[in-house]
This record gives sequence, structure tokens and C-alpha cells, in this order.
Amino acid sequence: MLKKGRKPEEDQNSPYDTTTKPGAPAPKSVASPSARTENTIIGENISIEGHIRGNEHLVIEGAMKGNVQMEGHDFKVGSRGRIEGEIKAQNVKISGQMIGNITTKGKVEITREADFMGDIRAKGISIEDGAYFKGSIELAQEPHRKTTLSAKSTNPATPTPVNDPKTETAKKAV
Amino acid sequence: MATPTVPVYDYSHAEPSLSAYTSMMLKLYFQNLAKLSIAQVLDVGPVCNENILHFARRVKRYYVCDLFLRLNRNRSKGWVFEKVLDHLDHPPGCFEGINLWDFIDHLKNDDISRLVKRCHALLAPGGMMSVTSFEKQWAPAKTYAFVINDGHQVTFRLQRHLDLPRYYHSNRIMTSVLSEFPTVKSFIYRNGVREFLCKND
Repeated sequence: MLKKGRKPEEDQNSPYDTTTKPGAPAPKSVASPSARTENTIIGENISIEGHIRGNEHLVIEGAMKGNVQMEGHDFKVGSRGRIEGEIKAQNVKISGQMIGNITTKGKVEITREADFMGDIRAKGISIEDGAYFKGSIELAQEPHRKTTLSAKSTNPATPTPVNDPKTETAKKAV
Repeated sequence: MATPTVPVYDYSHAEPSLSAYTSMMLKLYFQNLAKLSIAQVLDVGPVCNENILHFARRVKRYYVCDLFLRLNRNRSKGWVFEKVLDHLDHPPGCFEGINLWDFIDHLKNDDISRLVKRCHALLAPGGMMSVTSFEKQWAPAKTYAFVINDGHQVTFRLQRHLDLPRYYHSNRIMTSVLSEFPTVKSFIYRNGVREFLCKND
């Protein structure tokens, strides 16, 4: 079921919290000017095949096959959610199953219930003990970190290894 | 009269042998990785956020393939190690570093040899593989993550979700299974941790 849940004012910093308090107004079914503070929820009995582009936060509790593009907004796969596809979002939280790559300008969070296969490019990452993870992590290098290993090469023409295992871990699995 | 509240502490995970130590192997390992302009490192788990951040900030790309969890799940399916090994399906020679931690302590001798051969094939020329293993009398009963802290200090964190048997491998067996590598540096610590840094020269 597709839902829109307005988040409580005090929880505006946790875009994934979709709980509503008893007595709170019913979830809205149309977009409002404050759409940025809302989550769209794809319920656990829904399956989607196709791509999604959007300008508000999205939570997948059901099954999805396809890409999600919503830079500037947050994306979550709930603990019962399953997704195969590429994700581009501001912040991403995975608690369910995902096969695919993630690109964010923010942080990726993978919780202990998650089963993730894919490659991640992000500014920050957090993976809880107990999560299954197969794939790679590439953190955005901050300018002041240019002394780190990857930046130590003085030769800008350093060749890329022939066997770059940027394995398309996800592609294989899909 | 009210009974005073007594705080209850959970010491069940605190195995006495698991004291923190400063890893010489990690120091050498990072020094060697720093010489490489493009470093790609593979970690076989268990997933540990501190280690992921530590490496991912220092290498171009950090790969994690949690074999501990796979091994744990496979136990209920008949304990076929080949199925676990199949997850290391990366192209040959693609990594400058492989972190095995104490994964081999959870394998029998034949399985260790297969794992080491596979890892040797995955290493680029000049690449390194880090291995840790416990001395018999110090081996913990449960499975722990080796957590890297500042200054190459290593602490331990219980992995409650893992229930794996542990096998002891003598120094002679370790030397034998690591003989694929021309250079092996080894270290031993008071807490019973043995470290092996194998280089694919």
C-alpha cells in the first residue's frame, strides 16, 4: 500500500521514522508544499517493477526491481523490504535485502537485519555487526585527506589495474 | 525494608585472554599499502564498522565478503566449505591486500589449504595477506571481531550472531599452509594471538 506519513515535528532529523501517534491526523494522500518532510511508503504487500524518481523520502517495505533516483532525499529499505536495482539518494538505510549499487552524497547505514550485495559510494558509512555484506565501499575523499594512500601517487597517469574487481558484484547476482 | 538495587553486569562475553594488543603486523601492512598508488583490499569479515572505516579511508576501494556469516549459515545446510569459498568470485590478481583475521581458526586443515590457495590467486604481485590465529591455550570459545583502533591497537568484540567451532592449528601446520607465499613474517603476543603477514613477492 502506498502511504504518505507526515513525520512528527520533533523527528524531522530522522527521515526514516514513519510512526504516527494515536490521534494524529491521518496520513495525507496528496503531495503538499511540505512534501520534503514526508515519507512515501511502499507497503509490504506491494511489488514494483520499474524505475522511481522522486523528490521526497521513500521507504520500501515491499519488493522492488528497478532503479531509484532521488538525489537530495533519503531512501530506506525496511526490514521486510527487498530490492534489486541501483539507488541514488542523499542518505540510504538498508534493513532488508538489497542487490544493487548505492551512490549517495551522504551516509549509508546498513543495519544488522540487512542482507546486502553491491557496491557503495558514499561520504560516510555505518554497518552494524551481524549484517551480511558482500561488495565494496568507496568513501568520498575529503580534500584535507589527500595524504591518504590513494592520493599518494605522484604520477597522475598511474594506470588502473587490469583486473579491477569493481566486480559489478550486484550485476552478477542479479 | 527495600532491597538495595545491585547493578548487574554482563561479563559473559569477557574472556580473560582477550586483552588488547598493539599489532606489529598491521603497522607493516599499512606501511606496505601506503606504497601502492591504487590499493584494493578484501576483508573476509566478520563485518566490523571500525575496520571498514579504517581501511576505506586509506585505500581506493575496500571489499567485504563476510565468509564468517556464510560459514555460519552453511552449517545448517550440511557444512560444505566449497559453497562458502564460491563467494570469493573475484578476478585473479585483483587485490593488494586480503584480511583473513582468524577465519582459518574456524576451518579444518584441508579447508585452510583451499582458502589460502584461492586467496593467493586473488592477490596481485606484491600484495599481502594478513592472518591471525590463536594459540591453543588462549583461544576464546566464541567468535570475536578484531577491531582496529588508533595506533594499530586491536581490541575484541563478541559476535553474538556467530556460532562457529574453533580448531587449533600448530605453528608447523600454519607454516605449511602458508608456504604458497615466498615471504611470511610472523608475530606472537602475550594474549596468545599469532599474526602472519604473507607477501606475494
